[in-house]
Amino acid sequence: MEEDEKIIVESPGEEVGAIIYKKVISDVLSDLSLGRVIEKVRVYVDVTEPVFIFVGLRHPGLASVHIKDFADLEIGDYGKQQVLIKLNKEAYIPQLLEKLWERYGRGNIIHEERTLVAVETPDYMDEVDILSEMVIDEKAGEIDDRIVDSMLRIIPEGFRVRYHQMTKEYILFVASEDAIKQEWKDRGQAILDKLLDRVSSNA
Amino acid sequence: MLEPMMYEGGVYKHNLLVELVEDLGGYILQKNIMQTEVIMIMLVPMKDTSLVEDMTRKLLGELTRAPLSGAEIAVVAPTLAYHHLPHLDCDIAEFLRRKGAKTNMVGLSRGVGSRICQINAYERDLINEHDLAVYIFGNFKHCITESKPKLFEGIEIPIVVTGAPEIASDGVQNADVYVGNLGRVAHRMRKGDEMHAMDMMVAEVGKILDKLREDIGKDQQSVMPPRVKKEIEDQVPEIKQVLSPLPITLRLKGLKVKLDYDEFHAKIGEVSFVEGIKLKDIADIRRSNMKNFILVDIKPKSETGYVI
Repeated sequence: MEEDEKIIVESPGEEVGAIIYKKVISDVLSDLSLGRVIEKVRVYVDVTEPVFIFVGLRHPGLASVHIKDFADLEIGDYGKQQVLIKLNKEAYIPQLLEKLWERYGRGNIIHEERTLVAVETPDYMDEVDILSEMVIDEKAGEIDDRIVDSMLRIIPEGFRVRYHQMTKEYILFVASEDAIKQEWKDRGQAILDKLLDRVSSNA
Repeated sequence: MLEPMMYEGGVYKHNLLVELVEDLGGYILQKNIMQTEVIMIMLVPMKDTSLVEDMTRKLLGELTRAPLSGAEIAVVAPTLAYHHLPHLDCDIAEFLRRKGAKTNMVGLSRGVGSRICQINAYERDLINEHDLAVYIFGNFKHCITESKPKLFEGIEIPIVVTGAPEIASDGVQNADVYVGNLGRVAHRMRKGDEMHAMDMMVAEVGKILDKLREDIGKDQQSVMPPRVKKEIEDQVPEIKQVLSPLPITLRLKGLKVKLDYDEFHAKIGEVSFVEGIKLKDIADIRRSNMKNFILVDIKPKSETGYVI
């Protein structure tokens, strides 16, 4: 089924161009390791206008990493105003320390053992809850950056006037040399609606 | 008649080959030593090629014909951004170099887009200093045939255009040849059909250069460029201090000497030949747009009245 294909490039009167462009898109996506992030791609190019419309559906992104995902938290011994963070994984220590120093200051972070971080704070009863929800690593942000980068690599270089929408579900990119016309935006929106419809009816 | 050839082999005893070629009256145009390997591009008198082949066999090297030797080719891309580089443009330049050409990559400042693309006077003059220009365009026919020919305005040298779609070889206005199947890609060229397209491109470039050589042959140059190269190397010691890979680059119509024009052009003009003639008598010496180098255009026999 044609609709099931991952990448479809449509270009009236430019069949060879469309086939090659499909290769360019798959090369760029795999260069930036976005093959599994972007689910479906539909592109419409008309060089006589000229316009380039890119619509991509995204996989639901990776969740952010919170402290509670890799550590146990408790309040310190009797008489000490401390929160103790017992780490189960060492992978996130650099990001964790960075965030803690920023919030409490270097002098209040005691990291003597490898898997134990003590945070000195007078509000330790409240802080223990805030800390457990603290976001340490934001995967989604980094992926957004890579998607924008891939867009800039894919669209023809001369098309410097751009219109875009980017959400957690999809990306819509319209690029041209001239001012963006409403009909191009509408066409992009129509392609997007069709894609979203199909996906929801499959689900 | 001299035959352009390329030798690839080990460094060990390669001097024997250099001496042989010089004894036969040929010229070494370029010698690149990379660790234990050496690649030499040379001109060998046609009737003595068998001697060079024998020596190559003795040295366990490899000898191939390098039809593009002695030509300087501009590889022109709309810009030097990652949309065009490195894959296609560098692969094409590399292919041309392997056949003996000297390539320069020219990225235009405003060559992108269809309506908005343009070329400026400096870029035009720079491209015109070469023997031939290869323009590398993209994937859409409309773009190649309708918009991009603007970039050929004022270019006086032959133009080869590459792109993805199938267009008749004379289908691009103001270009000499169009070669298809070489569009904008984001991977290295290594598949069979891609290599075939590159071979086609090199063959077309070779044909045009042969035609140019023939035209020059009708009104012979007063002196052969490789001979001038040899004399400059012997008489201008400063050329040995130049760090460019090819301090004296051959062009079909003359040479490019990579020394500062203001400081050295008089000295280059004074280079003399055993016949008692100075270079300035038989050549135009002018300023290059590329880094203030020196361009030497050798005059034809019809202007000077003699050939040395």
